[in-house]
Amino acid sequence: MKPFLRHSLWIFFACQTSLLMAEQTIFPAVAKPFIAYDFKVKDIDGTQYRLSDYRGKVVVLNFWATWCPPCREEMPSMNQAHKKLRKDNVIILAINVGEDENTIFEFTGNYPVDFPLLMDQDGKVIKSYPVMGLPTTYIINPEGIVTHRTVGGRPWDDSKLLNELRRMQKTPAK
Amino acid sequence: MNTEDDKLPHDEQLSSLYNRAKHDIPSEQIDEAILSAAKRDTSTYSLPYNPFSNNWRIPASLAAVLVLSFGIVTLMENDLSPVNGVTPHVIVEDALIQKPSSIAKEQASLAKARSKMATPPLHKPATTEPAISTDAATSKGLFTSKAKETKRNEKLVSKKKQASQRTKPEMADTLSLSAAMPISTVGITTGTDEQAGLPYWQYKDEGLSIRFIQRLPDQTRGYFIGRGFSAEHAELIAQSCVFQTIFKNISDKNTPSEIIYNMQNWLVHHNGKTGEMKTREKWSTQWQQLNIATPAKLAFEWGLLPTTQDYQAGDYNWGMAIFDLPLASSFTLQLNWQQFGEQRNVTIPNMQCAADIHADPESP
Repeated sequence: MKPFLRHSLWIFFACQTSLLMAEQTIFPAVAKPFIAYDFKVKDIDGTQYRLSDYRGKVVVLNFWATWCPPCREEMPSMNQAHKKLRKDNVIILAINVGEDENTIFEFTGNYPVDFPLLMDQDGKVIKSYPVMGLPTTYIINPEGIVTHRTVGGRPWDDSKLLNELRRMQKTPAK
Repeated sequence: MNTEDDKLPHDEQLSSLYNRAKHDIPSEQIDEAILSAAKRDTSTYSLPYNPFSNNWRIPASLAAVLVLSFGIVTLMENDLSPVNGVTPHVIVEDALIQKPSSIAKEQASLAKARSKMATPPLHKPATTEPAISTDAATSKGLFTSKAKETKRNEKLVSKKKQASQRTKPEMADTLSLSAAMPISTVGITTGTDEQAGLPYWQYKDEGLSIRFIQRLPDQTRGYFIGRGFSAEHAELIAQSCVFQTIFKNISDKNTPSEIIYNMQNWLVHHNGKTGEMKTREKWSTQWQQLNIATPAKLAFEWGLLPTTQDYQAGDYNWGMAIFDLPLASSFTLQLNWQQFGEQRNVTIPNMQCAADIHADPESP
């Protein structure tokens, strides 16, 4: 009985280790962290937003467009994440690329969103980030450094992702 | 059972000694003396190395669990199961490389399958396409005129004829390619994309999945007119052989491997000639000359598959890939990318640009 228990403990430990290793790749880290470009843009209601106003908080900066299927797909989960992370000082900002207020407003009829939908109509902001395709989402740490990037949609309301963002908010930058 | 013959010579002597003893069992002092003597002996004694002792069991069981877990997960990841419920047509590498006589047969059967695929269920519009584009197309009167429809059908018949005539040179393209270089076609599947209802060509291995889905010229027209292009300029794109592409890094999370590609290194073989894809940078120059409005340019630029990209495990992009070929032409695509510390190459033969088929709006 004793050896059986000992072996089971070892196996449990091995499984936990591999699970922890898997969790490390939830958000791929950028090869070289860089200072986030500080933009000043308006949302569809005309309210102005500046990135540097969110220093001290983790910012999830999403580039998207209404015509992009994976962007549309991840929007509801992003909205859920916004609701769950509001108290944790994690901010979600979504920057629409090249579309106008009416198009975005129409989109919100089908995909209700509570976080700010910012407009980059001339593509100036997206050009300031190394974005190659949509959707691309950057994670900016409380010091304003871009540390992680995801390309393509993600299930943002997944508890593992939410916990990882909470952990980033609590962990002081190196 | 003992008999008289079993008795040993000293048995009687021993029996008399036992009979003289006060008790049936030895005294406690004797027991303790024997036990302490035994303990003394065993404490100084060490076992010789035994390869079959219990020590190996823990690491062996751990190793077995890890190997099994890794094996099962890898098998699950690499499973070439039908995508989106579509039963894929798998092209076997041996058929193309080792048996030249069977190439023609394979090509012929593929051409046959392709001719069937070239007439997709047009009354079911692609669900991947945003509803806006269809609306936009409808609002521009693209689906209204019956006369136009008849003309298009005539055009389609002639284009289908042209396409079937082109099959032979394309076979020659593939054959000459297979003679010139090793073609890896393992992992390539074709079929009908369930969502779009149009033919697709897909390559999938343990780290990458890339699917090219035909886009009808009318879909492309509608899409770009809806994003601010004039009908004339949208036509330029619609006539350039457009595919919807889904590019994914599917490498295992426990052994993630980055993908880096540059579309400018991909080659398109058509009618005995080799060319490149028409990237967003090439189009950008053209749009500049044509004074296309910024929102339209942005929608075009970000609507295309990135020219270069690096994908971490789990990353993916959707985007249009433009081959700059006449509609309904067949071609062979040579892809390459970096992953798992090496350059990987694959050739997808017999891809086909969509013909200019007019899609009827779905009846209510």
